[in-house]
Amino acid sequence: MTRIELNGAPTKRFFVDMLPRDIELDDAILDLVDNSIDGAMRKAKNMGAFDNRYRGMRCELVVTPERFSINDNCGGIPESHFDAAFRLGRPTIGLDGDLPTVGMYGIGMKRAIFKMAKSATVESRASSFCRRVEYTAEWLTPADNDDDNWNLDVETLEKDPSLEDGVYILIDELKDDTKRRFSRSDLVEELRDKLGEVFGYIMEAGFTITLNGTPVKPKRVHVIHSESIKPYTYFGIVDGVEIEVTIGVFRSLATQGELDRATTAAGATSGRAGVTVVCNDRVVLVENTSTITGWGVAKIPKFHPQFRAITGLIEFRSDDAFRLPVSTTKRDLDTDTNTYNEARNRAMEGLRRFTQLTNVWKGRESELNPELKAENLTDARVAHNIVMSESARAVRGSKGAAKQFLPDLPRPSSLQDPLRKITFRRPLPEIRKLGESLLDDPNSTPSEVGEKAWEDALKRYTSQ
Amino acid sequence: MSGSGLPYRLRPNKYVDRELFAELVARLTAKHGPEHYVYTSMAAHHLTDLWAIYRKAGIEKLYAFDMNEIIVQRQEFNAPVPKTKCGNHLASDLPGKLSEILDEFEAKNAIVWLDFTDFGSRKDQLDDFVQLLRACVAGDVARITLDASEKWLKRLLREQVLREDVQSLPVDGQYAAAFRADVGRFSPPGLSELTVSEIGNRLIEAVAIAARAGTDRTSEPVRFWPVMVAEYADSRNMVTVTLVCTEEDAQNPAPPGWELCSMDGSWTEILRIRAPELSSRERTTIDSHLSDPSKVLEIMPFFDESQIRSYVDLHRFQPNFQNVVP
Repeated sequence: MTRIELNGAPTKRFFVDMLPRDIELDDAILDLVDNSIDGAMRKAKNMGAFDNRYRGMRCELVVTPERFSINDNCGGIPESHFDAAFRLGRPTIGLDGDLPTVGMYGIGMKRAIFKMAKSATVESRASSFCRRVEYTAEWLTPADNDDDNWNLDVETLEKDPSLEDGVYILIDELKDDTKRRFSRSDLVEELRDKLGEVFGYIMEAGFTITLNGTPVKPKRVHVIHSESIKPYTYFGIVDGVEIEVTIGVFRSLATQGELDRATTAAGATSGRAGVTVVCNDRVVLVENTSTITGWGVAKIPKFHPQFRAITGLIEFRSDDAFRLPVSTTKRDLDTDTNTYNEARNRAMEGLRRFTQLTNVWKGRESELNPELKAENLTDARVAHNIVMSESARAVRGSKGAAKQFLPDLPRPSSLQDPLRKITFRRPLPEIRKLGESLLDDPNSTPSEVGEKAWEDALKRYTSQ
Repeated sequence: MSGSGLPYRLRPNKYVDRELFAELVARLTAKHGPEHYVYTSMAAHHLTDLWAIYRKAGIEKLYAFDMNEIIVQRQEFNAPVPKTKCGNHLASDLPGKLSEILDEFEAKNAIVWLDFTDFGSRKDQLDDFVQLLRACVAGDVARITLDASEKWLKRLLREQVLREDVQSLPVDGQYAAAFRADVGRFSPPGLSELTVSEIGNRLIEAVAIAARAGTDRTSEPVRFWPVMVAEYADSRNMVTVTLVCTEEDAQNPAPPGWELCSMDGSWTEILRIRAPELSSRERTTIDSHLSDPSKVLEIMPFFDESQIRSYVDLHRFQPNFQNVVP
């Protein structure tokens, strides 16, 4: 019997071609910004900073059809981390010890380069350790028999005192599909919005991000906070993780007319509704309306346009990043933890109150909506702190370690309710005909047509 | 509570269940005294259970609530003692309000009865009960009453569009399907057939599943002991479960001499309250033969033995409203 050996090793082509396929281009760019922020966290820890802890640290993105670059001043890649930074996967998990950072130098940088580049350079300046690594066109387009050529050329750079320590990645030969995407200004602006959403809380702590020379505006969750409408809030500590929950409304309640338009309009969205989840200032989920944040679980209804006024923020904080309930992708939660379960249960308490609010005011939204004014919109973190300090009570059984505030939300008085609901179904051509006749608009919503027909009939018969 | 306003002669078994519960509360609260506790329930406009608790256990810290503003106004009017407070909110709001209620009354522990006697979704009712249990601490008492009647399942079958494979099942199979659909995640596993006589038992098992869910918390671990599990029927079959919350490794908190529960905390001791509705003549006849109930059957063969036994065993809890009984 003849024995032969086969090479069962993975091919370089597999990694370079296939790896980028499991991530969207925008998410690959977010991964690069994440790496800058990991550097910022290391730098902030070394400086002992806390409030406004990332002040002065920045990341500048250039996204054009000609080139992509990301340049930060977040300390560069230390010598101890350098080799690992350019290997696929992290050979040593504990590189960042107790820093609240996950996944740095694992796969993000390489995957982003493989996604976008025909060739690229990575420069790193970390004190006196300054290097440039080149990904040549030949390296990034491996031949079929090129399995062994994983080596990268590394150039030692002179320390330049005029340059801050940081990482500079330049891709001046973009792949064709990347070039096409970067030529669309609307998609670049979508990226700008995403950056603002995902890094809004880190930017609040002083970090700045610019895109094509213009600062990215941070986006944060806001809730209405007034005498009559306060958000639900909770604070607790579970397994060494601080949990803060804030659930409230950010706009007026949706009227029936608005709901009718929402179900017929193409691309109707939930807007800013939903619950945003943040782990150590990093947004993991943006405006989530799924069971992960409690929608559709137990007695909480599934998200529906009726609830589009409801928003929330769940924050997890820990000095030990491994305790955070975040998955290895950093874009999802680890739902098998006590920490996550407690946070979700508390968020559901808030969702229950505010979905109930929309139910009890259904058909009478116009009576409550004047109280839901934009001028009472407050940053959710600020509202949380105010409410907790003024009104929170200890949670039973927590021995004071957990506190929550349960808002008494306004209810319409049943004693005074003179209104009754009238509903019926009619064929669409009839609705359109009446819409045209009564409102000069065949596209009027059914509720608008119904109300106008009622008013006209009432005038006709009460004047007789 | 259903607040149906039916005269008690038509609901004697509910009366017995309520009196038993009040007796249990009196015994449970004896150690720390009534001042230590707040009693709260939905109570309807007559506040019947609040009165019973006040009379038997001496608890004056009483809180009633209802979602209907008019009923709350009547509750305030009918309150047993001036200290009584009434709230206008849903049962699902109660767990969140417990701390506030206890603070207002300066009490340490709560005794809560969620008397769901209407036809709402069992899953929703059990979810409310789970939220209540999660808000309980050691020393609290939580009680739930649920409708366990055949009418409930028949109504579900009428209202729901059943899948074809369910429609073709015999009645027991359809009842099981309707039960599973309405009870949801609290349904006992593997339930494929359900006879009318077993509806109560299966619903009690669902409450046991809810009780386990109620221990889910990140604060001090607790355990819920079933100290009274009962089934009774006046116009409809009902089940009722009373739980006491203790620390996880505590002993059974049932009061000394209390024989209506098993000491190991299992859910197997179910009290069947089956006393018949009696005329005053029938009642005096049975009362004069308490020591020999079998004699009663000779005199009144139109009753069965289990009914007479039930009456005799729970004799001191039976209603006695001769001025309203013909």
